[in-house]
Amino acid sequence: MDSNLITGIGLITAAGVGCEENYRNFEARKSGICTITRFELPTAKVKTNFAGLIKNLPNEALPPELLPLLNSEDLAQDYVKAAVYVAAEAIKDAGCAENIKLAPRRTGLIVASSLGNFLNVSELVKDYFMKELYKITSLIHGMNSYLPSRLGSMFGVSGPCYFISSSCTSAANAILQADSLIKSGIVDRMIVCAVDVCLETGTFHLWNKIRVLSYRNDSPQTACRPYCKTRDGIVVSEAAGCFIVEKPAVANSKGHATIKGIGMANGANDFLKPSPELLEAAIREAIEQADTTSDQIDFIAGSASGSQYCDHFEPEAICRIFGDRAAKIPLFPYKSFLGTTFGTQALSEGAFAIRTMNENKVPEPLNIFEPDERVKANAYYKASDYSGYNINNMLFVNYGFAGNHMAAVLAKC
Amino acid sequence: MSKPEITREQLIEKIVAAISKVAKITIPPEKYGENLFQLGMDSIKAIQVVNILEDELDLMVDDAHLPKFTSIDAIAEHFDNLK
Repeated sequence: MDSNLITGIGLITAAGVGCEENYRNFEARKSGICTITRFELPTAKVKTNFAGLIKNLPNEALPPELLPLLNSEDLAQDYVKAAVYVAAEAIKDAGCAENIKLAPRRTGLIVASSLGNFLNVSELVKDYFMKELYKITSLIHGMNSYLPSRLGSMFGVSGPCYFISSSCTSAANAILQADSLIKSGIVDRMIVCAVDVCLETGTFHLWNKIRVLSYRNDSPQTACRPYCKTRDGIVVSEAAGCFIVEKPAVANSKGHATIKGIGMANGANDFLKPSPELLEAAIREAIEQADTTSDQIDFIAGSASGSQYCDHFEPEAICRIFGDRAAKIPLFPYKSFLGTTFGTQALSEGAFAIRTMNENKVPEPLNIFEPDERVKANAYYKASDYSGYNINNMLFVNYGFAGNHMAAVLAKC
Repeated sequence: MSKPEITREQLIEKIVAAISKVAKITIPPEKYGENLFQLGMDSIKAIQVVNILEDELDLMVDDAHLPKFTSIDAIAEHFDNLK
């Protein structure tokens, strides 16, 4: 069976709106992670005052033909607007709008998110308890099924439309499901969208209290330091992303990448800590599913986040799988630029990783100030050593809270 | 961060009470030196306990010290050693 293609990409992160602005700012190393001004910072015993927040999306940023389809409450929520933006960008990129229209039941749509429409639910609770305001629409908008249903109807999708949540691997799980639905013959194409626009005073206070954030308030852009010995925590960042996944026979474009294999292993013995064994199992499964060998992997997009306690697990697993080659394959964590983009990671980090592969341009390591002796994999390379290097296959690793460990092998089209 | 103005016994009482509140487990004195993760704690519960202690003792705990908080004695030791 032919491997499915990623034919369209849409992206919003703190670094920019749309793929082009994001890629440009990645080159310039302008991540958009900065001191928070969009909402009031919590006061009580909170150490961190920065994050990656997406820019406010003016209505004019959305395709004009879609605006009449959005109601006033949709337009009041960046959660909805960001999803509409990235889905429209990805559909345009894939050139599949006409094909969706011709056979609507052959296209499905998944929305993935770690926290879902958390801000709307917060507003709903505030409205109810503090203002005695009973807004039925808030309840509808708070349902996780609202966004997939809304996007599905906006883009004329009549195949399966639903919501997936599995913490930081939400988008990776959505890609797995999309790939499986196409391979099973139920649909020809899936719109895989992920959105986590969820930071405000209350949620940010809770992220502080869970004690996983970096405290480098004086230097937000260098705060996220995966694999660096001086790392002191993660940086939370909002994002939205979209991939169009299609079977090759119906694709209108060559595609950005081929999905060769996806592996997963779950076990939530400790909600906050990944399991090195399960991570290794997920990576091995992805390589096996790809019907390839570890020798064929040219680049690794790592999942390390800057966590003091967890970042070394991943290179350990890579060393066990790749042996001596682990010291040669460049390992780059896109969180060093984006921060931790909640459940969107496979799409937001994935978009950058695919670009790296297609341009054969290994990024210079970012925010590494001192090597960690426990990290034996190749995270401390020099990009100049890889000029003229060819990336034909890459491994994308993704783990998160709740015991989710995933990996995917993607290949050039 | 300064040393809380309570005795070690009172401090241990507060730690035991916080653990009991969060994890619904009662730890007898003979197990104060045992690893809390083997007595039914996990990382989320441990963070909740530290948050309660921060509020009750009105101080802030540097996260760099958290890996040392493996037992009730170790937690008490940390606060006792504050200047």
